[in-house]
Amino acid sequence: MRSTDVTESRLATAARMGDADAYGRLVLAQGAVARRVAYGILGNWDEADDVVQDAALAGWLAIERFDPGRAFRPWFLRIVSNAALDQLRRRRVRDSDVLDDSMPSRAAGPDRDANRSLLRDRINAAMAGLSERQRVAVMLFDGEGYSHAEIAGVLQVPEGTVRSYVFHARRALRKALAALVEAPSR
Amino acid sequence: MNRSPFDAERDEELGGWLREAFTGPDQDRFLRRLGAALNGLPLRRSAWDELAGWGRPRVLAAAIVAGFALGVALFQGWRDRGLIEPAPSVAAALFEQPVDAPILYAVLGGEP
Repeated sequence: MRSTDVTESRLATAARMGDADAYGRLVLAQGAVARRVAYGILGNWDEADDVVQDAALAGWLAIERFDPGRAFRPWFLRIVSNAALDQLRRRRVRDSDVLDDSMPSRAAGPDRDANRSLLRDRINAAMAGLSERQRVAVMLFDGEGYSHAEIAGVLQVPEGTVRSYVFHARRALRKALAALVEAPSR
Repeated sequence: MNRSPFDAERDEELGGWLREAFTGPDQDRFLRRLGAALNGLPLRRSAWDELAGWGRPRVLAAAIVAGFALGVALFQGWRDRGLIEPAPSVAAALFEQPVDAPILYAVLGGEP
């Protein structure tokens, strides 16, 4: 077991006993990943930030349901992804709107490398063609190094389904990026 | 990028691009905001607290009923052991009066 796992386990046990400080440290350590997961589902940074904050509070109120024998990260990301999916459903009901064809890309700064900006746009466009769960699956698997089993726990789907999500997402992303990678100077 | 989508191994290159593309603006500000929210977490009520809050009025009502039942049981126990003399009924008291008691004559309407 890695030392970070030991620390996480110790903090998670303390959090479950009601230590708000320990819980805060655990969540903050997952903040960036949680934000990416929420954005992967919602395609909107402001909503993603709100959802992560709400999920942090929801997780604290439900901390006694956390099993200290298991990893904290997938448990918390499951709360984040559920909260983001709920928010997406509410938005769709409210606006009768679906996610845009292309996910908004970050505004490019003056010093931003054009090729990287193009890469980001391609990734966003390819990701927009995927389902929310496919986006989260490939983000967690290739982006964050989660196992299929952990992602299955986060998304509450069978492991085989996660493999299928990752497969389809990778195929779409690689197709979208192939031209850029083959001609990086473009 | 030449790897198969079936690979069970993590694709670090693709992962790096994904992290880059999915790192939002004002990351530091977001983390500060999240940290501030985490500093203001409400005190968490334990399961026992919840149970106590839910059950307090019921426990009080149950205690009153139990106290009443205990009182009745004690009273009956004392009475059965003769510690408390039960009051006779009116009819029983009348029949237990001596035959020559004035009240009996008055009821029958006869002379003494």
